Amino acid sequence: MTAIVQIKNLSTQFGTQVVHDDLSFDVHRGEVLGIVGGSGSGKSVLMTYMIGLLSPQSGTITYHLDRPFSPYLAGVLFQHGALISSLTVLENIMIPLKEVALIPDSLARDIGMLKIEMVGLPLDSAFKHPSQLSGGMIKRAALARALALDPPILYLDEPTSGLDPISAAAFDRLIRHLQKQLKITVVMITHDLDSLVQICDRIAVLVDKKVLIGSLDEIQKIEHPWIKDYFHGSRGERYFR
Amino acid sequence: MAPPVNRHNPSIRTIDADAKKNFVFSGHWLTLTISPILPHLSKKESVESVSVNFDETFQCDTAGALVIAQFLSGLNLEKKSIIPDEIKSLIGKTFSYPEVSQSSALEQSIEYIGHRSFEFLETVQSILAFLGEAVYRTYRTIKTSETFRWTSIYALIETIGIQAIGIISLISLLIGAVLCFQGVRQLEKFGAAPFAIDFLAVSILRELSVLMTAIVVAGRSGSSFTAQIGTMKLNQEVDAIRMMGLNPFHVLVIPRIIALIIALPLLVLVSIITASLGGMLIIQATIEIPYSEFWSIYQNAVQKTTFWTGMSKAPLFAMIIAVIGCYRGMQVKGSAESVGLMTTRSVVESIFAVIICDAIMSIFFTAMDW
Repeated sequence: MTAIVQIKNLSTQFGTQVVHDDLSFDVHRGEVLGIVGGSGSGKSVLMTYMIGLLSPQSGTITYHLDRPFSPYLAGVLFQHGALISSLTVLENIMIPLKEVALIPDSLARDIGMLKIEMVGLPLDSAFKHPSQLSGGMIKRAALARALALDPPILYLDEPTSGLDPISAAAFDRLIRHLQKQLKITVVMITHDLDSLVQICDRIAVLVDKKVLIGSLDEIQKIEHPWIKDYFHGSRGERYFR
Repeated sequence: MAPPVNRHNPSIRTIDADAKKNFVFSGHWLTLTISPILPHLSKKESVESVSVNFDETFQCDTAGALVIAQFLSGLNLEKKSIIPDEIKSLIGKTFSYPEVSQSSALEQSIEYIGHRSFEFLETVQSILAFLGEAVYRTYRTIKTSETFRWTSIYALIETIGIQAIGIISLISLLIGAVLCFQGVRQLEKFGAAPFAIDFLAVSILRELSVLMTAIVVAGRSGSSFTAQIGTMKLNQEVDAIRMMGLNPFHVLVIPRIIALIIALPLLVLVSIITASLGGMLIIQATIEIPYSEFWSIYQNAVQKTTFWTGMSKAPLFAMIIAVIGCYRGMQVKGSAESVGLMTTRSVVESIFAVIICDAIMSIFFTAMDW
């Protein structure tokens, strides 16, 4: 397993509150890594560092790609989609294709339609504005935009939050399918036990300002009150009885 | 920074053998590297049959696969050529796009004018309905001796009124000064320079102070009403207010109307005073009429009605600005774009309505000889 992202000695502190204390872990090429942790455990902050929106207060994040890291090399599905509201879905996907990859209009339009088809949206939704779409469709449209430039690594911030169980399961399958088809690495922040069990190869748990990382079996054997509560509470029981 | 490794630009080679074409694709056909090769793919030769090969450096992603598939779909491929699945599945794939309407410019402009006219009529109608509801709710509140929300009214008066004193004073001071300066320059030619004071007094009291203040307040507070209520609408806060058993009109709209009706006349008063002071300074500096004499000329130029004709417009303008601001805020739906659009409309429409009303009232007051 080669690492695609290496995080070394990352520490974060807001005022007197320590969020991350000397985190080090690798994201392996081609895996689906789930990041879990309680509210306020610094999952989202960790993601903003990993995607390069902010530089870490201390420590380093290294990407091993065939070119220097740039924000457009990471696809990001933001929690609420973050589609540009004045543009249609298709235009949202075409922006990076036209502006970053310098692809001419007609081809960019075809590629955009292909992505819309890939994420399982009906093709007529390409010409709709985000405000005309349902929550599940917004997530799919945002996923299509995140995949616009075929990034080697995809970040998902709570991809299934706000979806009904059926849509959430379908979305999990879609992520797994696309990850296999496009051979990309996926890092997802999630609270959804179903997603963890169904699609994650490894799980990183942020507890006590540290990170514990391993496969599902390894993680749930760890003796820690939060992890016990998380996996063996009333919600987790159906998987780990 | 790591040096780029393994970066092969996409390329296509043609080998002619046995009167048939052989295309060899190599390199990385990736979204980010594909644009340089696109011009080389556009020309399509009609060849009998074509074989396709992919060498060992070949890699592609979705965009690359689509480009190759679109290139190959016009060609007569040999049966035995081995094509990766992701490309094969895209060959012959086309998407349909809705047709752009091809009506002429004239048709389009007529359609546009018609559309806008109906929209204008609808807007007038619904603003009047909104105004009616506002007046009715205010009346109900007074009649049922339900209390107004004085806390929010006080807070609004502070942001609308007290915090605007600085900008209103500055603008009025400058306008008063400019009016006198220009008045003196023109009237000097007739030897009637002191009449600039009469000119200043009448124009400030009757028209300019109230109009300027209303325009500044429309830009400053009308827009903030729209943006604030609009954002609350997007956040479903307006629905939450309704579901708590409160009336959004009572909570959001009426306090704003009352606060503005109280604050705007006071701002007009500030504006009248500072504009006169501006004039006074300039008169003293140009034609050297002392301050005390300035004020006695000023008083002789105006009557009580001069002041009241101007001041009577202030509550009306306040009502217009508050009603349009709140109405446009309530109209926001869907997206951030809508907040921007409605805020623009709110400011444009309230300034427009204020000027129209001012013109009508000016004609009326003059006709009545007030």
